[in-house]
Order: sequence, then C-alpha cells, then structure tokens
Amino acid sequence: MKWRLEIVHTTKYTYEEDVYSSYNEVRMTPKNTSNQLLLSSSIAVSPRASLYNYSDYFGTAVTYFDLHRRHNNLDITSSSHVELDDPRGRGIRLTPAAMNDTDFCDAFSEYLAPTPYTQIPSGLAEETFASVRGLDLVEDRVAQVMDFVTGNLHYRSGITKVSSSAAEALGVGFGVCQDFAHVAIALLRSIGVPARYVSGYLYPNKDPLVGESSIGESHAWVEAFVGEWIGMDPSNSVDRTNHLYVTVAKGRDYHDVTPFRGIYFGGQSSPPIVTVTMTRRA
Amino acid sequence: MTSPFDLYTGSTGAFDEFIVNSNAQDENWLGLAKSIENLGLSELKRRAIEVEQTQSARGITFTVGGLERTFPLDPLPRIISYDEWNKVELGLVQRIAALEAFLDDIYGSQEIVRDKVIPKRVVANATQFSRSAAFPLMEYQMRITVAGLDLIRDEKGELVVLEDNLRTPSGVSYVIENRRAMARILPELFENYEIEPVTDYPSRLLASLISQAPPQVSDPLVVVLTPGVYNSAYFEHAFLARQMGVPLVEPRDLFAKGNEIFVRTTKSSKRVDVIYRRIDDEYIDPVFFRPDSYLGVPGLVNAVRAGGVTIANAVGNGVADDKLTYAYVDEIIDYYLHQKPILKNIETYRLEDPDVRAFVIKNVDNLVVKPVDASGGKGIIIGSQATERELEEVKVAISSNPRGFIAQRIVNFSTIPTVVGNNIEPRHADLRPFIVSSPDGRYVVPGGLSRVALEAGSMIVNSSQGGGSKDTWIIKGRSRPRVTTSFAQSETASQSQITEVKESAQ
Repeated sequence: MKWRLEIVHTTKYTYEEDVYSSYNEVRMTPKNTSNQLLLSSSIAVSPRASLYNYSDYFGTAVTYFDLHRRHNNLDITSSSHVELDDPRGRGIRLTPAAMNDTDFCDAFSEYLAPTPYTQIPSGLAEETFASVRGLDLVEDRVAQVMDFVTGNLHYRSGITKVSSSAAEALGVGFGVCQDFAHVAIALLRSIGVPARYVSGYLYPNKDPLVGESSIGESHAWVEAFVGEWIGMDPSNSVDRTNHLYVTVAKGRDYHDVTPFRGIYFGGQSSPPIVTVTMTRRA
Repeated sequence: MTSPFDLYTGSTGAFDEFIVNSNAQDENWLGLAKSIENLGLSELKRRAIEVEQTQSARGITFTVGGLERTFPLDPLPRIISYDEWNKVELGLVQRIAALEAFLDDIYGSQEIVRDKVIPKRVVANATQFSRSAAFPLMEYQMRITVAGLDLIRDEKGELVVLEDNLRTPSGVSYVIENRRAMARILPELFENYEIEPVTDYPSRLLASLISQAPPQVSDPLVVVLTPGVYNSAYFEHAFLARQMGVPLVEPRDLFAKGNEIFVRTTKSSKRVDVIYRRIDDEYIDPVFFRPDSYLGVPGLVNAVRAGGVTIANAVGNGVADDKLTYAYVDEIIDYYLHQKPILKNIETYRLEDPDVRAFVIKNVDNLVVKPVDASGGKGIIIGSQATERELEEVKVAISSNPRGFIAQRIVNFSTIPTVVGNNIEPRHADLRPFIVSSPDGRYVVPGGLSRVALEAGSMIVNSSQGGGSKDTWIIKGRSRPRVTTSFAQSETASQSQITEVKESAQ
C-alpha cells in the first residue's frame, strides 16, 4: 500500500542549572530506500544555532550544531514527509551453503562480526547454530531465530538501559525494542546470516484516514540478508516490516544510529520528553 | 694499549654490526674502534655520565611504569653506510606513499577491497578502522604527516620492517638530543666524520604543518596538542613545540565553535589552523569516541571534516598500522604504486586461515604472537621466552579471536657493541626512522632512533619497557679517520660541520 506520512519528532531537554556549551549530533532525517521516498525534511533547534550537515559512513544524514550561550532547555524538532510502500522483494534466497562461502562472508563481514552491543555467550551461539542446522532454507533458519528471541525476551521498559548489551538483556529476560534488535542481530550473525540494526518510526494505526494524526514512536528493528535484505520487527513479532515502518538509519548496532548524542557542560539534565506525531497526508 | 674491542666477539646467531663491518675493513667502524681505544673506555664513560647528568637536569625524561627516568644513551654510536641508507630511505618513502594511498582509499571508495586485493574483513573488522573518519581529506592535507617505522636487521644483515607506526609515533626528540649529547661525548669523531645532520627535523615538521593549513589563511597558527604532563612522551611534546616555536596546548586550552577551533588566551581566543596532536584517536573528541574522556576537544572531528582545521596525523590511521594490514603491505605497494617493495616485511602468519592457525598453535613456542592493534610492545608473546602458562593463554586467545593476533617467526635481529659495566658487549637493537610527509614531498631523518635492549640476549627494546638508545650515524662518503688531528688543522668543510653541531647543542 502506497501512502504519505508527515512525521514531527520533538525532543525536549530541561536542565536543572544552566548549560553553557554543548556539542550535538542528530540522526533524525528519514532515508531514501527502495520502498521509501523522502519528500522533504527539516531540523530546527532552540536555542537557535547554526546547523551543519553531512552524510556518515552508513549513508545516514547527520545534522550537528554547537551552542555557546547559557541555556536551560534544548528543543530539537525534526519534521519530514515521506512516501512509503510495502517492500517489494525480488524473492532472492541463498542456500545456507552459499552463505558459508568465503567470498560471501568477506563481502558481508561488517554485518557478521559481533560488536560490543551484540555480544552473546559462545555457548548460546553454538546452541543456536545446532538448532538451525537441520533446516535447509535460510528463511526457516531466520524464523527459528525470531522464535527464540520472542520466546526468551519479554517486552518491558525500565529494566535494561540504553547501554545494555544483547547478553545483558537475555540475562534478565526483559527489554525494549533496542534489546530485541540486538539479541536478534547477535543470533542471526551467529548462524552466519548478515544482520543490521534499523532505527526509525512505527506508525501505530493500521488504517488511518487522510489528515488523521497519531502518536507514533521511535522504534528499532532488524534487517537480515538472505539473498536480499528483509526487514523484521522482533519486539512486535512482525516477520516482515511494511509501509508502517519509516527508516531513518541503518548500522551494525545502536551505536551507529544513535538519534541524538552530544556532550554538554553545565547542569544536569532531566530525562528528555520525546513526542512523535505521525499524520497521514495522502 | 689493548682496545676494549679486542675481547668483543659479537653474538651467536645474530648479525653483529661491528664484527661484520670491521672484518670487511669498514673504515668508519674501524675508526670508531680506534677512537675508543685512544680515549679509553673509562674516559668515554666519564663523559657519558657527565652529559647524562646535564640531560637529566634539563628534564629529558621518559616515564616507565609511572616512574620518570632518562632514556639512557649508550655512548657508542651505530654507524650505517650512506649507500645502504639511500636504499632504506627510498623504501621508507615508497612504503609511506602506498600506506597514505591505502588510507585515502579505504576511507573513501574502498577500491582495494572491491578489487579483492585485501579482504573486506581485514579493513572493516580492524579495531582501529574509524567510521567517524570516513571522509575525504582536503587536497592540501595528509593522513600520515609523521610516521615512525620500526626496522630490524635480520640474520643476513638486511634491514626489514617490523612495524609501521602511523598514529602518534614518538622518539624523534631523542634522536636530536642524542646527537647533541654525542657531539659532546665524542667531539673527536665529529671532526673526522661527515655525519648527516638530524637537527633539521623540527623545521621540516613545521614546514609540513604550515603547508597543510587551510589555503585562505595567510599566517597560520600551528599548535602541538599534548594530553598533559603525565603522558610518557610529554618531554617530546614540549621539546617539539619549543623547537618549532609554536604553542604547546592541552585539550582544555582548545574549543570548537562553528566548525573552527580556537585556543584560549589570557585576553581572548585565537583561531587554530593546524594541530599537531599527540593524543590517541579514542581520546580526541568525546562526541565520537569516549564520552567519558576529559582529554578530548568536543567538535574537533566535525571541524576537521568541514575543513576548518587540519590535524596531523589524521584520525583513523591505526587501520593502516594494524599488524594484519602489515601482512598485506607488499600487495598495497603493488596495487597503488605498481612497484616492487624495496623494504621487506618479516614473514607473517595470518591466523584466520584454520590450517595456518593450527600450525601456529602447534609451533607457538618458536614464534612471536602479537595483538594486531597494540603499540609499544604491549601484549607481545615471544614463544621461546614465554612461560608454559603464557603459551597456553595465547593459544586460547588465538583460537577465540583469530582476527586479533598475528604470528611471526622469531628474528634473531642484529647486535651492536654497547657499553655494559666496564666492558663492551653485544646488545640487540632496532631502528626507528622518522618520515615527515607534506603535499610537496617527503623527508626522512637520516638514521633515526636506535633502541637497544639493555639486558643480555633480550629482544625487548621499547622505551616504554625500559630499553636504552644509541645515536645513529649515516656517514656520507669516505671517512677521514684522523683521530689525532686538531681542530685548527682540519679542513674547512669539517669546521663548518663542527660549528653547526656546537650551535645546535646550546
């Protein structure tokens, strides 16, 4: 289904005492992909700052700015229009043997190697591999991994932290979308399936009217390479992402796609207030 | 009179630079031995101690295990012939040119990976491959402004490359200080030998840094950025800043604003155009690397990206001195320069191949195992000198992380006569030459830092692990060993040589 969405993503920081300087990077501009067209986008910052842009190693649009006047709040607003469609894959599937090939492993080495966020105990990696060994189709192997993730990790916020690794989330058995994505990526890589982390937005409503606004959310999911990249959302048990998913950034793990990061000097910040408003425009 | 060299026999297995050259009637080495004989070892030592005391008083130190000490200078210089050095110099320039092209490529379109000359994983999975640095430089900027390679002379007498240091190599201040010290310890020899000067280094470095300033700047401000007085090489940072006549700054003296870098001064702030930085990548900008680092300058990487400032060396060079990348340098030279390598590598085992890995694990007691991303000799296991437990640990480490290590054969590298107690004994020594690159060309310091392992038989020469050093002499043309000639009788050319050395020794 083809449609258009307007997304307004605001992040508000309030500081207990004045901040006198800060350096910030924002990754909040949706990408162009095979099923997503970026029609327009803008980022606004208050207090006012000069904004600079670059495209990073992963092709993500980055906006950065620094502030040198005293301030006690910081608002970042990212507004965009995107046209979305359901991904139309070409149905290319490799055999597990083909994915074991040296050239294949080398070409995808970036998405096969563990990162600090996607470490899991080696025993678990071996177990997972043993559990999929009998399956001839790579899709069945991926499905098996997704079943393991949803069976061993339960959605609950406030247990893990933004810095938690896949191993830590599995250890406590609870996590948020970021943890589901890291665990799924770790297990997929452990069975030789290249996997990457996707950050973006999920539209919460299946059949909105044109002009109707909904409160959406920042979200994270996963792409696996099975002959082509396919998207899946382990925290919602969705085995194929669709036109409800707006892609902002892709990378090896959360570190590569962090929506907002920076360094500031001055007072402590309270947790940011984040609002994502998504409106159907066509 | 008996010469202290009479009892000197060199060492077994290794190429001894004095024995081989004196047997070949090399006039320079024989002249050196003759001078020491005339002088007497005790007088040589007396002079060396006197010079060392003044060095110590001037604060020429190196921190070892938290303790400050001088980097002991052995008063016997190492001599390398001009002809051999010419070849080495060409080899160094070739190697750095290729590695510069390699860095430009892998932080750009990665053609060398697409052409399958070097596997993607070797680059992408290197811990020092810096995705934050994956942007093209401006045409006036270099990635490897300063390189310090480690060479050793193998059993056959050939200088080969042990390591490439392309991040923040240190030691050049000792090259310059050692030369000044030697001019006071053995002035007789400076009268008779035409030794290639090393004191040009700071002016060459400054010229390179200035040439890399943003082109619209007419009078560029260059600074040396040090982590601070607790850094083991702080002496060198201060030394180079003083020699170049530029400010020495710490991260807290700098700040970024709108893609430019400024240095705080007592009254206001001044724009900085070029930063010669001696801080590791991971501490340079907390926005990108370690947010917990107080050392960095937030905003620096983006200022570099935007062309507002130049930093030397560039961020991300560590991927090119990764020890697995080292194993591909011959291919890298061929790929970018279409040349045959002039300097050889040591045979290196790539442990990702299961058969190679099995071989290395089986023969680990006869090999050296090195972590791919460490410098300063950290984490190196020399199989023949390791304990059983160390060997077991290294086998486990290799098996669980094959990309993290390489193995090499143990090279019984060359020995050089060194003063030990009241004798002259053979000690293993390596050589670290320094190469300064600028958009206009490259300059190689004649010689470099010879580091000696002070314990008999030891092959650990790193200054950070308590080695000593030697002055390295590249002697131009034929020597004129007239050790008894007085200053007044020597030729004009020699006089100007002495004058130059004495001036710089002040």
